[in-house]
Amino acid sequence: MHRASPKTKMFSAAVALGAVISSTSLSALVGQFFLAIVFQAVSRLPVRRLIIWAVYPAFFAAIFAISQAQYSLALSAQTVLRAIDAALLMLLLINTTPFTKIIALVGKVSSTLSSLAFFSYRFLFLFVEESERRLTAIRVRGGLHGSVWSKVRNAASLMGLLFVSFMESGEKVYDAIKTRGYQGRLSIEAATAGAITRDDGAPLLLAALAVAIFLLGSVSHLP
Amino acid sequence: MAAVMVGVMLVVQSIPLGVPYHMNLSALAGIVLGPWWALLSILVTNIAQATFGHGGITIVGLNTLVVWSEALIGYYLFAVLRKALRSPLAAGASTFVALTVSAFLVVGIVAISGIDPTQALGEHFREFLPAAGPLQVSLMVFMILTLPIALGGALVEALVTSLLVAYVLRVKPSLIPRGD
Repeated sequence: MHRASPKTKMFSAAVALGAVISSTSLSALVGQFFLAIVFQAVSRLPVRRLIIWAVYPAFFAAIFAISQAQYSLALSAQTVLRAIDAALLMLLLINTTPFTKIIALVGKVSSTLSSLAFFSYRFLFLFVEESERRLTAIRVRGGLHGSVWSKVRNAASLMGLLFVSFMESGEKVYDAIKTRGYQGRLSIEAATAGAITRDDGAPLLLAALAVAIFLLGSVSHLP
Repeated sequence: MAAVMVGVMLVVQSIPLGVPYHMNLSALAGIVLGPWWALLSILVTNIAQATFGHGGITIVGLNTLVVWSEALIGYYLFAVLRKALRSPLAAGASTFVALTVSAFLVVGIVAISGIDPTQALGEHFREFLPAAGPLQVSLMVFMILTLPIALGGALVEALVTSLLVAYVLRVKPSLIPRGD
């Protein structure tokens, strides 16, 4: 999966996602769940961690599922599984494709959006590092202990500090790139269009299997 | 600034508040960036979150519109309230109203979607469904589950936004628009 072209992977992810969304059979959704897990395992991704991450949207899907439970438990299960399957597919895509390649493809739609996404991507890791440092600093000083009010107040001050710090970093980066000739648009090298190679087989197989499971679920008598 | 705001919105979600809620700072994004750049920031944030498995990729568009409504309301309401209240209070109040409206917007979206579970289930489960009329997602149950959480969260976010704006005004007031 890692060597396949970003275009093929995005296309396959879209097809597989369509199969997940269209599935009306609980068995098909379970099959698509295991399909995503197998591809993650074959791609040598940390499967257990990805499943834990994929359960997060299930929490919000569960709110809908609980509302539907009085009519049908199967419908509730479908709602939750659909959310998990979709999340697993996206995690498979993002963990096997450089984010910059995905953004480069977005650039064909909107250069403003892709420039924004690139700068956000650049800033994100710097901000995460900075926020972890500040969070540790406030923790060792006991800023996140005590009453709920003191925790909220200190957390708000921390966010304010980070906000100011990040804005200043952003201004410095902007000044730096302006001196280098930035005029509001980034020239981004998109993924090269080429013939489908052997490396593209894996994502295409994923898409084909997802569709096959969907079709099987539609025509079979399994619930 | 829009790119920085994307980073801010993504990072603050991991800061513990001492209550089971994470900030999204959409109203603040509207106040700082204005409605149109806030829309782009929110879209990029939602796409990034969807690729991390936080939130659904298929609902990015709808989610962006709902969160943008918070930024939109935050921006215009802040501009109005700032004339009568101090900026931190105005920011807090406009955040609370923005998030409350968006919570009801979500309920409204679910209500008007009118999804018929019989179509979602397909042939397999029709025999188990009641014969009388199409089913609806139980809106009342959905409201009972989501609104208390949403309104509690709106209160927390309004408070934190108010304190955050107060802090920023002390340290770097130029970041908060004065509307001059």
